[in-house]
Amino acid sequence: MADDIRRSPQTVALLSRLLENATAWHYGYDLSRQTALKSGTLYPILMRLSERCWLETKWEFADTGKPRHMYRLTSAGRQRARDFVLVKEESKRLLKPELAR
Amino acid sequence: MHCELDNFSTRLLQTVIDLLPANLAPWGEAMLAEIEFIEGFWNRFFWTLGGVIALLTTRLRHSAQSLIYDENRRLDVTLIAAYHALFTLALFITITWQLPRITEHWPQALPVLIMSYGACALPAVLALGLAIGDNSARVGAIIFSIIHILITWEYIRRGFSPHIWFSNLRIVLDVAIIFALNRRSVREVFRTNPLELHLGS
Repeated sequence: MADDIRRSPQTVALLSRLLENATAWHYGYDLSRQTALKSGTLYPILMRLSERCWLETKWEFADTGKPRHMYRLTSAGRQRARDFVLVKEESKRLLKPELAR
Repeated sequence: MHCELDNFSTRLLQTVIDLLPANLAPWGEAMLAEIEFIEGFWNRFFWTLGGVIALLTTRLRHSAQSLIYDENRRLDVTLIAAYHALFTLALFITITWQLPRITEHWPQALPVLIMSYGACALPAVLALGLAIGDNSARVGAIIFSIIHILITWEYIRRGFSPHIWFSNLRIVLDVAIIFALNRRSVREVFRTNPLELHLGS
């Protein structure tokens, strides 16, 4: 599978959030609240990241005894996500003077 | 009212999950599991609705990818499918072009128009079937070509065809399609999916 992740602001927001605590596991709803992404936007991105092995998933039982799906960047995914976010920020930084003109 | 809508949206998501292929179902289950932890009716409702949209769009994306990146795809079959899709497009444009010339009252014309548009869609359905490797579409395309040859032949015989060369070209194309779709190598690509019957216990 190709690494053709689209550099959308939503993907950057999600990857930035996942990178903040890169080794920790995250819940879907928590990610949705923290990134302000709706489930209809969040999950397709999570699926794409998982398909390209940027993300690992697992089921865990919460304190209430209910199972929850959890997400974490893989070690390869962490490196790629850092590059991804960096490139996006760099292009934004380079574009800003152009826009200000 | 809220409770009913809550149940409806959860059931809708569950129905979509049941229809999904095995690789997508865990993602649906994941969205469903999160509902337990979402506070507020509307938050839950929009979460479920978003989940349904996410699953359906991902399913569509996967289908489109499998259509485009199918290793068994043959160029001749792809061209025949494209020809059928263009056929539908040409018919749709022709009928739509004629709409301003309709002199009948709309209540009379509408059923005929709907039937005509429906009939125009037939080659596109065959194109889709050919694209996904459905054997009935292959047989359908052959029958369609035979009927098309007979109609074009009659059209020429009665002197209705303003451009004989064009009608002849269409006959040649149809013969080529019949020949191509009947080749052994093509028949092998199109597999009939036998109906699997499972007896309980």
